[in-house]
Amino acid sequence: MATTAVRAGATLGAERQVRRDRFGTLRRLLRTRMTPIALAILGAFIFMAVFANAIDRYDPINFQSYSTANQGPSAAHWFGTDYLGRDMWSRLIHGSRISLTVGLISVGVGMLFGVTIGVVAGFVGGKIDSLLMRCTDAIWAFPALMLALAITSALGRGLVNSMIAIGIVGIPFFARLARASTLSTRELDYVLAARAMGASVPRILGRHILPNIAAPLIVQGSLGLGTAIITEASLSFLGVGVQPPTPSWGLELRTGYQYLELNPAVAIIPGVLIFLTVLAFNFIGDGLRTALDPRLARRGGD
Amino acid sequence: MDRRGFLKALGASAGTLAAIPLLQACSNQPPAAKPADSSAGAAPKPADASKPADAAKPAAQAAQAPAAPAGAPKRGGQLNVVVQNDWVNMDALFSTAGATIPSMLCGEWLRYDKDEKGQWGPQPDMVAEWDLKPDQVTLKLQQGVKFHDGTPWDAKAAKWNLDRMAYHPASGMKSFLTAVDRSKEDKAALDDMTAKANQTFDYSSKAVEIVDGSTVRVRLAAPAPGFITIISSAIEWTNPISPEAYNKQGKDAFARNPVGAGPFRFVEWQSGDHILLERNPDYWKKGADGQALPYLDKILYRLVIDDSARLAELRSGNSHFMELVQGKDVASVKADSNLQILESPDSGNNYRMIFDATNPDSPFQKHKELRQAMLYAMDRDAMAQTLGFGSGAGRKYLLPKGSFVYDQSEQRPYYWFDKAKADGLVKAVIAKDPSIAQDGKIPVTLNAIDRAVDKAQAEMIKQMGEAVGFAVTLEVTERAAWTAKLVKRPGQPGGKFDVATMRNPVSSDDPDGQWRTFHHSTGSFNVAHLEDASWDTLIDTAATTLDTEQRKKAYADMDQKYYEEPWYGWLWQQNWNWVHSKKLQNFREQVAARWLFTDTWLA
Repeated sequence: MATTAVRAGATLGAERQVRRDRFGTLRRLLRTRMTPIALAILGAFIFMAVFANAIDRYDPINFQSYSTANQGPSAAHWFGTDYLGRDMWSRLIHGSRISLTVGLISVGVGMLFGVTIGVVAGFVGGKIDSLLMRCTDAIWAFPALMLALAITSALGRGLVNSMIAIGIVGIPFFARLARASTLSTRELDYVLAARAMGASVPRILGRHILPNIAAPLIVQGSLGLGTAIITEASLSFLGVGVQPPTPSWGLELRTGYQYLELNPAVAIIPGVLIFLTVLAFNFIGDGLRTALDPRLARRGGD
Repeated sequence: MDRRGFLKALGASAGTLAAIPLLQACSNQPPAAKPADSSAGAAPKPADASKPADAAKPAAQAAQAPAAPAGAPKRGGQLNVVVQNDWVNMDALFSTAGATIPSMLCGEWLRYDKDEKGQWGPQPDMVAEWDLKPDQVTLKLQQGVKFHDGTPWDAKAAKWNLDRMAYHPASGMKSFLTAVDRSKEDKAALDDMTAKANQTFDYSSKAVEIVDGSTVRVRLAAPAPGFITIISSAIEWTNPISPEAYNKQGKDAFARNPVGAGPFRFVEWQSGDHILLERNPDYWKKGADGQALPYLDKILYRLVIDDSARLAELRSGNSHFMELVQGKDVASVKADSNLQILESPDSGNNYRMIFDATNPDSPFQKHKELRQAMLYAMDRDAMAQTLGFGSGAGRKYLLPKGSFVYDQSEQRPYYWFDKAKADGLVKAVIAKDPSIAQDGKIPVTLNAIDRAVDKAQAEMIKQMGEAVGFAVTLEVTERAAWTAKLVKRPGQPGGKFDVATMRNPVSSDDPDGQWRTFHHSTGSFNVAHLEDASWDTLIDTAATTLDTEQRKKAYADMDQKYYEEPWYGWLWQQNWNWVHSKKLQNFREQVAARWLFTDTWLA
């Protein structure tokens, strides 16, 4: 009975330990210096994107008031008006949807294909590993923005093609990271045990490899979001991304700099929003890197 | 980055945002615009019969006189010019990007310029004298002129160039020279020429005769009062070239290695980047010092598509000359002590709308009322004010006020902003043909060129169109892609579109040029793809009438026909302007879209 009680106590302790570890990650994340501020900033942008229709003040596309074009911030127009008299506040909060959507989808595309390539290459090895890695190296050889520009020019201008281009450019980052993590994980005991027990390759990859390499990929993903947003803004600035009259931060920056002398706000404000978003993602990525560090988890982390 | 660093960055962002009101206070605010919100409907403006007719102004008077040249001409130096439109072809006859460089490379038959009294008209150049009669025109050539390859500018070369302009199947001038008597031509030889259009040109016409070594005569099938203006620099496809060089290289190679008789010779062309010309030491014109022109050693034309970037080039001193600053920049350019701006109140960049007359899928092709609706939906005053910043105005007719055929009383019908009318027309079409609408709106695609003003205009058109029942999708492309879709020529089939926009230089020269280029079935820029014999007849009749009053009536009939069956829409015009560094001396106002640096110099 004492043994049972000890065993029950040990099991209960292990459960408590698991619960503490889960919340420990979150606690470690929130205790990272800049993360709470970054989360607040990002939360504000996500709120803007989700509730844009509720908090905009004018139709971002169809409201054009030529007599009040190129005006600075005022009570009627918090961020001023652009060259067609459109309300910049409304355009920028609707533009946040584009920027965040592009970031999420293009990182999703890059992660999906990159992780698949990396995990397969790392697990299988041999000639398949070489072939897949040389293909990703070929993509990586090009400067990211130039490659995105070339892909968008080939596919045609527009939002969807921009997302595809940015996703393709991101593949090598995830592929390399996934491969490296897989190489180290595939030799661990539990993987060897699963193999010995006859588990299929997809099962091993899905149940044993992927969950244990997720941490660095999540960190890379959050950092990649910032890069994706910058790239989308760059493509829109160069005229091959989002097309007028759809609002996006990069497009507003592009048209805004034409009127810099007349109305500095139209160029500065989108630039500041892009800067803050990317900064927020970078800090969240740093925070996740610290929070997901297994050495901190083993020490109890509290 | 640590906490301190982050807070510094955040503080910098907040400080920047807070400084915006301060920057606004210091910025160059635009002039207060007329209240012309497109959300408000406006009654159409009737022709004001009580307004006194303006006296016909001399064509293209400059609103701002050029600065007097400072000091004696200086020789040497390289002029740097920034250009907006990419080059496709250095052979002016086939070019779609303007004749600014061919003018410097090849020279002109005649210059369209001001005389001593300040009146615009053709002036002698490589043609020294001319005699225009109802059935023929005699051209006496300038003596002592040589092409850059040493071959002479003589009657043989002049005949070859005239034949090429009149008979080459891809010639941009063909439709202008329909008055040339073709009755005695060899039809089989003309057909054979079509097959060899991309190689040499060796057709010798019966209509163009060599009188002597420096005189040619062109026989006309009908009077051609505009003939001399047509072969002058008023029309952009006329610059003569070396026949020997063309036939040696072939059409395509010559396009990239042109040989003319102009003040500058071709050096190099890097696609998408620049073209370099150097001084022609054997040029026939003399400068103030008695030596051969030009004064400049070289001209470098650099492609900088973005309007703001071009102006920045001038402000930084990297470049000396550009054309067409946007309306929003005119005030700041005038305030810049290093820059000089010339403006023309009659010449201008005419922004217009185009409907595809041969696209069976286009709602505009199926229903005239929809074209009319779109034209009534356009608030031209708002466009001119918003996009032109006061250096432009809405356009009622094709030709500018300085043209001798302009209806000064403005009694002829024209399209103007009338939202209610536009709305009614759209509703009527939907009621008649419900299949044309989706979700109660008529879907159409608008093609625009990727230029700042064109894009902003496209967004305005979209908003105005959607206010009356269209669902407008914008398709913005580079100029080359736009041209490939809209311009149909032999070897270039063109494409289909619903509605597009473009801009075109218009000045008060002979009216035939504008109507013919765009409405004649053989017009070199017949971008509406019109194939209407009645238009051809009207245009050819007007061009071959010597009587001024009859010509005026013929052009009045064209305005009426345009109004009844519009395939274009005249929107607004920005006054033409040229901006240069004050280092560039002796630049004078030109015919729109011409830049002549023959006798300019750098101080």
